[in-house]
Amino acid sequence: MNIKAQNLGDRSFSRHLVARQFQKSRRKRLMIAGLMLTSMVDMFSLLVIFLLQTFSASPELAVVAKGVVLPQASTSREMKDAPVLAISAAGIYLDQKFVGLTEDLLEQPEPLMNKLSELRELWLKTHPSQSFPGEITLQADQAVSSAVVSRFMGMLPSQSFGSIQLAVIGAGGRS
Amino acid sequence: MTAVWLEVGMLQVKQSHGTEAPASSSQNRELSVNVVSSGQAELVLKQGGRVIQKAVAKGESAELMVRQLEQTVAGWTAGSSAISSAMIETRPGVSYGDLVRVMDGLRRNQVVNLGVVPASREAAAGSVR
Repeated sequence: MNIKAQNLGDRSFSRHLVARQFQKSRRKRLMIAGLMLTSMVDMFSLLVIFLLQTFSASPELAVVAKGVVLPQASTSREMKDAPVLAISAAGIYLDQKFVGLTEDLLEQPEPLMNKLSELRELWLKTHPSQSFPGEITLQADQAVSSAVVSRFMGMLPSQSFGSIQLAVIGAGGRS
Repeated sequence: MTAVWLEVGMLQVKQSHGTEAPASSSQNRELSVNVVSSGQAELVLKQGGRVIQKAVAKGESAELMVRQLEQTVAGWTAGSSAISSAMIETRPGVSYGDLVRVMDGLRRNQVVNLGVVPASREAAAGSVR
């Protein structure tokens, strides 16, 4: 930082430094005096409680696809991390990405099969020493016909996805 | 903005593939459930491939039907070995919500190995239109 002579005025440089230090320490003192420690501790306590209550070790699977109302079940278990296949009356989504219209995929399921195959290949590449678990989460709208859902469930094992987790609203439901 | 807590869980289903057949012994009891409508289901209990019990669960609503189904299954499992697995078949008019209700009712009675019989392409396509 350049300190120009005209800025210092008549004062010597050492006096200027002392004055600046004084100003700085005064500012600091004022800042400390201005902090409301009790409120801050309260705020952080609330934040910690909130984070502890909302913490979940399970993966972020609660993202329910648009147009899907999950059915309720009282015997549900905690979900595992797996690709998510969402089925609604309008369309099919794999990991939040639109794959095709439900009607079209029932007639020609190849686009879905290809995507599932890609997912499996990617998993095998990233986990070369492990066997493929074949787990997939199915989010289907409760109003959709069970025939549609079971048809898609029947397609999944052909791509080695034989362990299907049906996403449901747990016993706690909504609050 | 509306905040809603969703406690999302899952029901596990094992789908067999191709000629893969579940390991069964003469002692294993297997249940077949055919959900005809949201208010009616046909139950067949088999042991070693032989039919040993049959029943029909009926109700004015899916909830009442599932309650009767649960009573039937509880009666079949009381004092004898547990039912090892169940295969559920549904007609096109039955909603997925009702299928999950039936599965939930079976799981409440310790029938935890569940499978779903895939619908034919015609039946599935017909129920979308």
